[in-house]
Amino acid sequence: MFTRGTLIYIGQRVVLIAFTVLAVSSIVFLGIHRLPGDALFNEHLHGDQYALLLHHYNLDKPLLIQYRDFVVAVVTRGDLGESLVNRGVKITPLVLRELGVSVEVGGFALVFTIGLGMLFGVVAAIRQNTWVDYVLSATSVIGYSVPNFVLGSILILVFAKWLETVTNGSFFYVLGGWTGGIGQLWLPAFALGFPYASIVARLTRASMLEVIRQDYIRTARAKGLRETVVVARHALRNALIPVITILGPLVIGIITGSVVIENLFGIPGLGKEFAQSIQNRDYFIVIGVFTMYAALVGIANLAVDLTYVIIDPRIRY
Amino acid sequence: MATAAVARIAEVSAPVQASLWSDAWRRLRRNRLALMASIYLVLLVGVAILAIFYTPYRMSATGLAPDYAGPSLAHWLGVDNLGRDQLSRIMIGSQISLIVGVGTQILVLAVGVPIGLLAGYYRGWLDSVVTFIINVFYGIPDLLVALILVFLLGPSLANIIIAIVVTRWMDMARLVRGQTLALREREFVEAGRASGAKPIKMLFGHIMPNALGPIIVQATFGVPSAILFEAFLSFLGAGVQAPTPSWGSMAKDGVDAIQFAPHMVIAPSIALSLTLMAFNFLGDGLRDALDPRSRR
Amino acid sequence: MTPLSIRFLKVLAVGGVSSLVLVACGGGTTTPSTGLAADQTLRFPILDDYATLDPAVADAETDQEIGQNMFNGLVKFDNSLTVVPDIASAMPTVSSDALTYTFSLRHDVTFSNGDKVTSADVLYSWNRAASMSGAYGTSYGGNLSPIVGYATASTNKEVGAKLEALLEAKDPTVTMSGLTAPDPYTVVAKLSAPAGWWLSAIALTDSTGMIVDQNAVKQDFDNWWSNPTTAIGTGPYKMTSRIPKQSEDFAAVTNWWGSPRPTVTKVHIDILQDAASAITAYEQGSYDLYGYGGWSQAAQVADIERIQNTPTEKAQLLLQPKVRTTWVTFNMVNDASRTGGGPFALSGGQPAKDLRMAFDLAVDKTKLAQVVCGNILCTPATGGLITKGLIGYLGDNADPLAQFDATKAKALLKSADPTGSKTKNLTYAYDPETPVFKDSAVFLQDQWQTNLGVHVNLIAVSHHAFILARLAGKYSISRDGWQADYNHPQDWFSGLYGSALGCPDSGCTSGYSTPAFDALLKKANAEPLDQALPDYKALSQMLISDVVYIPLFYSVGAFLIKPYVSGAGSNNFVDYPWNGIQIHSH
Repeated sequence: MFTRGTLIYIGQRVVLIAFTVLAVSSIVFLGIHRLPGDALFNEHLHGDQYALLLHHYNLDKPLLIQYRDFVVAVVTRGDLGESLVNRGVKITPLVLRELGVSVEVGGFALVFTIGLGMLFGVVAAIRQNTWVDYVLSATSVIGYSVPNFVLGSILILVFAKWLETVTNGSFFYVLGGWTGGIGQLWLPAFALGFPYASIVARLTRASMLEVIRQDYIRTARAKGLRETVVVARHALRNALIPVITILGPLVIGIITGSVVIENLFGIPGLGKEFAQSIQNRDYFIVIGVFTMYAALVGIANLAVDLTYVIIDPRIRY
Repeated sequence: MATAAVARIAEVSAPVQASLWSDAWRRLRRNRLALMASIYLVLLVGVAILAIFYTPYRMSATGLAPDYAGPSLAHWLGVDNLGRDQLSRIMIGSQISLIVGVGTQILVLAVGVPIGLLAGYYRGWLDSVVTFIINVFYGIPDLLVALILVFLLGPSLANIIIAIVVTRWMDMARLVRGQTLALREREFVEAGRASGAKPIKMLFGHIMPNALGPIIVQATFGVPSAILFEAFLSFLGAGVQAPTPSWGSMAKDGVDAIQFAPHMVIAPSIALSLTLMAFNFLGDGLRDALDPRSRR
Repeated sequence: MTPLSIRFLKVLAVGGVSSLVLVACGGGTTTPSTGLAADQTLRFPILDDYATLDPAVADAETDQEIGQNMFNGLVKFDNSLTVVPDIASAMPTVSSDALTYTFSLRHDVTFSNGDKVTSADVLYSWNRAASMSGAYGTSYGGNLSPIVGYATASTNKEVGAKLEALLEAKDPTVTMSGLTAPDPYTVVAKLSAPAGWWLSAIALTDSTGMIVDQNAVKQDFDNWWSNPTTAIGTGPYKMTSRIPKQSEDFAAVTNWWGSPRPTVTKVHIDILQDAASAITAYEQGSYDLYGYGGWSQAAQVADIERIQNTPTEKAQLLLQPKVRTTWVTFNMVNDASRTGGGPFALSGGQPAKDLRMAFDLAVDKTKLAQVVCGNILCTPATGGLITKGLIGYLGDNADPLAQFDATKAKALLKSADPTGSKTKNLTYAYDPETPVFKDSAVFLQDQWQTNLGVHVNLIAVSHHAFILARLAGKYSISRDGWQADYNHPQDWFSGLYGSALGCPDSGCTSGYSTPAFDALLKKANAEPLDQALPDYKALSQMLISDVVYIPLFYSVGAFLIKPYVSGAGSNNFVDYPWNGIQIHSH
């Protein structure tokens, strides 16, 4: 499966990822310092105290010198620096921890997306043109036409407020407490994944419909295989292909959507960190978060491309 | 003599194009959903134009009714957290959504189509460079870049459009490049080249018109994507600034008050959903109509 | 507050106790009748992590709200904002010339690691804070400025371990010569000039007057406070764990030397982003309090109105006026460095003043408080800039600038700007991160349009850029505001106006200063408070007759306290400390 060619390809891609991450970090580094305002100034400082503070954080050095120091620190020690606002907080462990949280939520959302989406699509295809089909299709269309934060807040309203006595917060996401258990991820993962599940559902339905009509399925049916076997073994695998095709954009979409969802649900992941740090002008955290995201996107793309190899043995790189 | 042969070939290929369009139009008309979507969009544009001249109340007038008051005879969609009339703001918001949606796509076309054409036609080092740039842009999370851009340039409507275009032009470029790569092998291109037509004429006169179908479809799908993007930016505080109402920022205000005044979030959400659905259905219809191998 | 201006702070302490009664309006809960709960863990959310807990550096509200439970000074403010002894066994004896303060320390004070507190610790802590104020650029180092030798210590430029070495060696460059310790439980401070405000300054919550443990600090001079093993203080609580920007935990110190002894044994704080989700979580039962930790002013009006209308929850809501005023500031000076321009400058004479008056009278302040904060989270500022409840408040409805008169406003506009050319293309600048600033901007724009017929553009500028640009004089008309550090009018006047502050060109939002204002301010700052008060009131009148501001509102903080929690609450400045809180069975 993983031929020498594939391994070379992986190697090339890793180099590309590293280069992209470096390029992105550099652009963000230079860009963020152009943003007006900074984290350190407050109205209590007077005289030369502000200048002293800037000096203390090496922010008064020429930008290129700062950049060189930054790159050296990252490459040699993996040290992304320290927060400007929350003194003494090292950024590398911070963003790594938050990356883990975001990946957990995003991963769960991806499972929802593919699982729920394919389920909807398959059922709608099998029950084509019945009320089941119409309901599921309508739900899908609404799914990707409503902003995920609206969906999310309705979910919070329903489950965290109205049904709170029933669920007691234990099964569904508990706002504010984050101990990382899977049980707490349902609401945000659902809000995050549902729009993409809808797209997956439509694609699955369409490709299932194509496949179901084809001759070899008819042949299998004629041979007397049970309907479910027919569906599961033959149709499903083919229906999976368009889903795999959009897996790349799907993952990117979930990463993007997670920025909004994390802010809505108060999840301590990269998205929430990014929004907060941009607002605070906490340069190093913004750069650190961006670096993590760029790496995440690159790795996700690579992983998706590699799944093609696994799924379809004919593909060689 | 060669020219006559070429002209005959060109003649042969030309009718294919013409019948493709009328064929597509027929198919589109038969698609009920796309038709309804088109009607809705025409109405939407009508509302947007009407809002230039008339809205029930001035959109920035505050305190017209007690804050958070629900729908009433005076205010059909209720008022928001500052006592502003929701209906008037929804009407103005339609302008913003259309400007963002259509404006971004026009710019995306202006940037992505030429780049895609050039990369696909000339191939070689130009294509490698363009592909590399496209891949780099794909490696960057678009919402984050857009956020930084908007904060850097300032939160105005123009800057938001620029931010969206910068993060989304690659889809169009990649599509056009793919189309160009496929089309350049076709006979009429060979014929054109043989007859000595200049590359610009080849690109814009022959290749692009044949790629127009997928381009239109892509652009149509790009509109709701851009409108949704603006809603995300509004949620994170980088959307159009007060007092201009965009449906996205109205939805955000509504979300803040969802337990206390649900009507605030319902109106903009429905407006957004209907408009996004309409563009999506229209895009579906166009794709089915223009794609000879369309699925049912 | 500015460290420069603290020099001019005057009598606030013992003689001013009577005036402190004005601020005594704090709010708290009544004691429920049930017994104590078995699990004495207090949980509450804050909306952003603290910046630092090092008392020498701390200047943010969150820093102080948390740090006040970890550190003590020689004196402190009690819940009714009276200065009382803390580590000192009694108020200090002051020499007749008011230059020498002698403190006797309690013998039983210990750090949370068991180290005993002696006068050497006081000297170390204060010398450290003084020498850091120069090298690190701290906000409140000037609290110690009256002490002889502060000028030397504050010019120190060494930092980190190097500074620690100097302090340990008692190097003269980092030592205030006026600070001595004749025996392990006596501290003598010699001041360079009488400073009746000084006791309040060193009582300031979680600030430079607090005592730290050298044994802990020297292990990591810059970040000792961020690590539970070295975050050592004399307070009733110590940090037990911290996940930066996610959560922190504290535990009560066993056998704490002070009183009341802590009942709550554990405190767990989560850092959320968003007031609405924090309130939802509180209502779900995940938290016992909301608003603690410096976030009482972040709630949305919608949530508070909803809670007020919910009979089961209404009793849990505590609305506490906070010492913050918001107003509109005009650019009063047009010069080379202040690029804001605009038609409002003093140099424009009577027409400019009429224009300022027109813009002021066109704003209905009562309606603003109603529309923008539902009359819950803010009240109209009718008694001058200084917030109601503080010394220097002019009295309800005593500020003529708080009136609303659209007819008069239009008339003034017509006479001052008949062609409308001066008021074309005006832009009001504000920072949108705080919802009430954004909402009042929208409201103001509407008022000027409706009542004056003038269209004013709005520009939202991100807070960190906004405060810098505003101080540089970039806006002709903009949002302004102030949150008091301590209860003395000097905090306001010296912090906002006058050439001593740096007006017009440096550190001044409006650029306003006149010779009359400067002279009177200097006089008032040098006097004891009872003599100074009429002068401060006269300064307020100067601002009013020159129409330097448009008063908008005083802020109100919103707290939610579960019925089974007693001892929690807040005064105008800070939360009630954790060691007074008890959790009852529920």
